[in-house]
Amino acid sequence: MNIQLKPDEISALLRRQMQQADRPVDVAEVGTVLSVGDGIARVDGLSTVMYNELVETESGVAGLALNLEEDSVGIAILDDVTLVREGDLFRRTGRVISVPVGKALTGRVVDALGRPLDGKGPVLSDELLPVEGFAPSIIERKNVCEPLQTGILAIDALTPIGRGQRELIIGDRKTGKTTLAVDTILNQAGTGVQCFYVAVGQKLSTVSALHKLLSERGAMAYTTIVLANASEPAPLQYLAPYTGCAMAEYWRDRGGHALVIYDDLTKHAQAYRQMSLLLRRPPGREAFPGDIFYLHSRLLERAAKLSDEKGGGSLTALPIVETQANDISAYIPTNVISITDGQIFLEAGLFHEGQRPAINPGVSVSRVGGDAQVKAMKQAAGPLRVLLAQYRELEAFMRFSSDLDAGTLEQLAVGRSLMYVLRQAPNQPVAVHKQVAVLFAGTEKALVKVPDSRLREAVKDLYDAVDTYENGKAYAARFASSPVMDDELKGLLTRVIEDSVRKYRKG
Amino acid sequence: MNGESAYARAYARALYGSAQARHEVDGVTQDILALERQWVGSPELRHFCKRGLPGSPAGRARSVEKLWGGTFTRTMVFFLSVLAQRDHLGMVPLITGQYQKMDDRAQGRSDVRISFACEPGEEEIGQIRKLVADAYGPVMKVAVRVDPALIAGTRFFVNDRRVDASLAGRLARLRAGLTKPQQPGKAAS
Repeated sequence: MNIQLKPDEISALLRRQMQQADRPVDVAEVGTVLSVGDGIARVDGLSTVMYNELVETESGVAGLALNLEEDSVGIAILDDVTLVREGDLFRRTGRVISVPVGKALTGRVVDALGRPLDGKGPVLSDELLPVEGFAPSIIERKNVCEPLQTGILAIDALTPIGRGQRELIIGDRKTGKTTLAVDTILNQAGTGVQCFYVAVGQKLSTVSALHKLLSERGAMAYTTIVLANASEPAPLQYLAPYTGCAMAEYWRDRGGHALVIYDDLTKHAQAYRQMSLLLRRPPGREAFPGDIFYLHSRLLERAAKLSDEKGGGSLTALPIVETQANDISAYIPTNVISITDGQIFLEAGLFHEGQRPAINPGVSVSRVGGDAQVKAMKQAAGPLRVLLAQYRELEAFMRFSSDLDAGTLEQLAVGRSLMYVLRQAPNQPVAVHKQVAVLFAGTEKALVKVPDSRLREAVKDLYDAVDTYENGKAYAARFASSPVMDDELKGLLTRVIEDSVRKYRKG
Repeated sequence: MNGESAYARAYARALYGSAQARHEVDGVTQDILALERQWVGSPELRHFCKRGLPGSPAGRARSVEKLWGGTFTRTMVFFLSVLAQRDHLGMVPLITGQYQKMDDRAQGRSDVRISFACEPGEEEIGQIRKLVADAYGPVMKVAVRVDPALIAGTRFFVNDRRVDASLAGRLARLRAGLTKPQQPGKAAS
């Protein structure tokens, strides 16, 4: 490689930096490290330090002042803890932790302090934002009114998400929580939504695979990954969601739209519990500190749809929480459920039955997303929840009874076809007009006479028919101009469904 | 903070509170200074306190009474007896340090620690005293030492504030400035 050195530029740069760095007298407020261990330093001094202020040692190791006690300060060390020794001096910086924000972060993988981890050089951003930002006030907000399409039929139909909403994804391990989040990112291509995936306490191999998938599908063009993996110190895992949120707020406050995925807040709470116990804060339920609710509420309150006067930007949050044995009544799940605007509950039983995504429609709910749902989808999905509930009830009953009347058998057939309709392969988000077409076929009982063995094929054919058949193209064009389920759209849709599904029906 | 420091702080707070309640702050403070001098000057005392006294708690309290009964105030002797009963006499230096900090804070006394690269003259110390008096008030406790590692100049601490006018500090700042990863315009954190 041929590198051209420019001595003039280098010497000018050095001179400038020396002028900045060379102060004859340096005045600083300092404190002496009394003890250090497990990522926490106890410091004597720093009597005027602020809560959450960034402090640093002479060698540049950063710390976060968290416990301000009568005669010592508890500092969470954000760098290599082995570089801090007893007797070292921590100095105040007068700043709270800030991270680089803006376009320079798009496509990058950074740590909780915004430092690059992807080997693509420094993050060239001129703007910084504090990680602990304030949630917009009530007059700065507006009701959620624009849909954020996930591309997952079960979600967009049953628990629709609007821009600015906070929708929890909750379920046991290995039930497809991250897959839902990733599919949502994939579906944001071309929508102008900036995506931020915050990995807290995740395995590096998992995040690496996810990064590879997003890169291959071109989604890194609008995505940033904030990584605090399982081997990082607890303070960095604690900071990472706030960092991701600050980066997303940059877009929200400029009239743009951002989506943040916190994967996952259970591990985030555990990292905070570790820090709190080491800081000798009193433990409460499950040894979590008393402010564990505030930890998540102040983070999720920053998700908002801003008013038109404030630019109309939005920040949508999809926090993920892991449950044990489907127990959503544990401490952290109930906390986050009460903070968010709804939850998508993934059930291990459904997952193992092959119903994927394994969304339990009975427990899943979206409290505000309905207002933002595409009208045609709202109309098509109207009877869906009731039909599914009836099916679940009859399905249990069917196990004990062999003689069923024709009406019951039809209800079961409708339910079964709807369950098939809601199945979707991972990483294959579907456009909303196709979702409406398939859902309409399901709720209008067009798939009832298709044998179970051919349902998957029939659904796939219907998806394709919207793109390829003449009636399908007409339907798509009409949907794009006015996505309302009126007689014209119903007529077009019925013809596409008939053309496509006819050949799969028995008899 | 490790366990001993936390205990020492609690003991010092208890002693100071007790001295205030009995209007004996001056007497107890004198005792603390005397005890500190004894600790520094007497290896036997350090050994005596650190090894853990034999016998019952009451017997250990009597040993303390014999050793300091005639020299210290009753409050101080009682306090040392409590330490002996609990086998905590080894914490004496930590407790005296904490006590003096509390007393300094209560009296509004600035703790000034000055380091010079070479032996200072009275004039240089006087200049720093004046600077500190102008900024923090005239009540101060000054400790001066020579630290050749400073190369040239001086570095002094006034309570939590450090003023570094040494050549070593200047070089360290220069080094840190040149080696710190640079963001365009500002640092990342």
